[in-house]
Amino acid sequence: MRRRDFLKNSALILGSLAIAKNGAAQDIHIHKGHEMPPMPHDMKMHMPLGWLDPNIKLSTPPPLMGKQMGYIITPNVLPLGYEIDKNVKVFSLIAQPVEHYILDGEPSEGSIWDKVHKAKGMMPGMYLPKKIKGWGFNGSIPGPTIEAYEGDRVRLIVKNELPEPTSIHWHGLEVPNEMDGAGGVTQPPINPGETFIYEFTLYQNGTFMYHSGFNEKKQVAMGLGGMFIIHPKKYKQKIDKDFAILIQEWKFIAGNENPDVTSTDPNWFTFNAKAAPSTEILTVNQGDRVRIRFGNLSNQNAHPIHLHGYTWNIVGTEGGPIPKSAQWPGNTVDVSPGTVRDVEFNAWNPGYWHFHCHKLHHTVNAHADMPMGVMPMGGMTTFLSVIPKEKDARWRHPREGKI
Amino acid sequence: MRCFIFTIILFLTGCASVQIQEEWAKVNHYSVEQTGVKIKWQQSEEDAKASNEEVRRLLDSGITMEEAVKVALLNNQNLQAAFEEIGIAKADLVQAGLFSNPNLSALFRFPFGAGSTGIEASGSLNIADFWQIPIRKKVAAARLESAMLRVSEEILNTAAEAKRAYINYSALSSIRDELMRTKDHMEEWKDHLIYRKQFGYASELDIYMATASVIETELEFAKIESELLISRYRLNRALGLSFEQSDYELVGDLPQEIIQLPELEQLISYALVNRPDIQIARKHVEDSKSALALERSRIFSNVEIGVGYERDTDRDESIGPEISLHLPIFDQNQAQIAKAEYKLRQSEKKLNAKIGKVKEEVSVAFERLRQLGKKMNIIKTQILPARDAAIKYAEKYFNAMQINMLYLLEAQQNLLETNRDYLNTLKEYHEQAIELERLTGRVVAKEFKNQATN
Repeated sequence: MRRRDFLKNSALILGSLAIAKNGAAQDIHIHKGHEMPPMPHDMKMHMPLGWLDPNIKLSTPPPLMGKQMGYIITPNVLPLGYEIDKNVKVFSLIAQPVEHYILDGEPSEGSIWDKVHKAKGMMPGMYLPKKIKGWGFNGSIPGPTIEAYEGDRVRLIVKNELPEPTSIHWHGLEVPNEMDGAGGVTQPPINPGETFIYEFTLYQNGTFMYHSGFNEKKQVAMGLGGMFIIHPKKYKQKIDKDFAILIQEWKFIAGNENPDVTSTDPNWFTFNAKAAPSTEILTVNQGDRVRIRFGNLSNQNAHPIHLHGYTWNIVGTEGGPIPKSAQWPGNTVDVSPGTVRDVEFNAWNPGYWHFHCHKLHHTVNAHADMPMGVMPMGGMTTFLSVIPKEKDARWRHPREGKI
Repeated sequence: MRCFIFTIILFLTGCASVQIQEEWAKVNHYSVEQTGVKIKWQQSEEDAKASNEEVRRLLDSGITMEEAVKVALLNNQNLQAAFEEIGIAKADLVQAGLFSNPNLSALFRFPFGAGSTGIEASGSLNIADFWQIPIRKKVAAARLESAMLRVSEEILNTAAEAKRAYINYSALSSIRDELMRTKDHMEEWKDHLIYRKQFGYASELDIYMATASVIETELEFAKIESELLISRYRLNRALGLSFEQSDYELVGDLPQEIIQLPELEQLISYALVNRPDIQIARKHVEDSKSALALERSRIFSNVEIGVGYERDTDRDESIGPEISLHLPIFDQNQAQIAKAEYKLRQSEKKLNAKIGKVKEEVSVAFERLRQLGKKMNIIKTQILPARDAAIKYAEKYFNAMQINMLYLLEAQQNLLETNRDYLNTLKEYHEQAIELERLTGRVVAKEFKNQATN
């Protein structure tokens, strides 16, 4: 995600304050207009607030949002910078309501998406922009990618601006029990408006995630999660392009911006909270060593992610790197909820390579039970664009010799 | 002396012809005031021909509701028959002012023996007319006023009937058009379900149910077609046309604005002062009072004075005054006086009852009209926009393939039903407005300020 886009999203957050106030006023009006039967007292006590509590002022994102201090590329998502306090890297996360477009609209004229759709005679009309009212961190869904190094001491200051308590679980990290972020189990939940400070040392390396550790079914389905990358002190092999993709799935009723968090039938599928054709294309140069890290924070489905034209090696899981001898080749990696998979490959094969979930229902955007023509690409779909070293060079397979 | 006698005779017999111009002008003024239409009394073939030509001209260019009222007032034969009441009542008034003809009698006596023919002759005049004629005229004048009011009421009723028939036909036409759209819509729905079945989205059950709905809509459509035909017959009758006449069209839509109603009390006051039947009831009380006075004047109902002349067979002549009267010994007209008193009391009670009824009728019509206006306004300003918004939503997300066509069809179906509900309410609203007009005796939308008690 470009910083400019991020600032636009931040403006949305500020704008949402006013919207929320108006919305609240409208709710009051609606209730006045419709006499409802009295509600049992107990039920009243448990009526949750919706997306946003208008009484909680939303902070602007911390200044270190978008400061690239590592080298992970998280398409469509900004990284999170840190401050140093003595030997501790200090990260700030604000859990807050966020308005976000998971689909920006029609692909731009002449883009690869546009060309493909026109060539295939896709049905028009499925590009209606899809705005959501979700929960994220620092104005971003998913939350910014955190990068650190094995052995780092990190401090994560988490402020809760959600309308309900939360906590953050550091998924896969070996931390002291009180730092695990299981709200109500290892710590009191962070109440709205309150801040909680996590601090621990990173003893592992690999791809991890962070997500809500309180009322997870709802809060994770609202989008509350992000990637947490811990680099080893030294990589054994140089990686030219290192991508991180957080897989999420959502359920929306048509025209409703609020996710249905109780549904077990998701209808929107996203890479880093973008559905095709709004997913960013992964662009590399021919000959690059490429790593792609997948983390799945879906509530329901495993997603078999498939790349055309390549065979990769599965080099890591949520448990960290896989020893070379145990790695296995493939072109489809099944990423179950709560798991992580890292794949690596040499980008020898130039061109646009289709890259998508192979549950094909997940490669189109939300659609009804209606007679189907040729559907445009959507959902968990993007391309790997491998820029050839030489234009018009003859295609050669690696087995034909070194390129 | 001769001149004096001639003048007396002229006075007694004068104004004997029946002229109705003044009364007709009053009724016509009432019609213009209340309906906006100048009425025409067809009293000759030429009059009838002129009216027919005007009606034809109006029909040829299509008629608005106001023109329908004009046609009805020109052409309605019941109304034309009612106009004759004015002439009849006026003739009665003229008759009431006429003196009884003088009485002349002669007796000739022919002797069987000698002597000349004896003659007895007398001439007399009923002088009771001098005190009875003014009272009789008062009674007849009140009856003429009543007749004019009945004609006014008939004008209002005729105009109201024409308006009601016009609105009924016009609204039913719109409802028929809307139902036609519903019918087409239901067929589209059914076809779409058949289409969806090819893709595995619909079952035979869905199609059977849609088929039944299509047939139900067709049945409803056939019913409204029949109602429309009947409505045309009624409209033709209200306009005084032949029942099957269909060579004219209604032009213009029913007004959709809510009438700014005056206060209820204002309407009731106006009705109590101006409604023809209330005025008739009041005239009836006056009439009964005059009738009582007339009966009281009839204790000596026949008093004749005159001159008698006699020549007997011996040719002796004599002349002298003569008086003749019925002695009120047994019949002092007390029964008729009592009857008139009862009738007076009855008319007063009927007037009071009528006042109560008018208040109730106006209040009920007012409340119904107000309620219908409210409903119409809610449909127009709240339900229809919500239905429109639902369609826009359905179209938007159907085009984005996020909802299926059945939602869009359902949204369209709901809009059609609300449109029909609106048209029905509009029809009832106008019918009720006409009823309120009839019950108050004027067009309710007119400015009432400072006029209610005038």
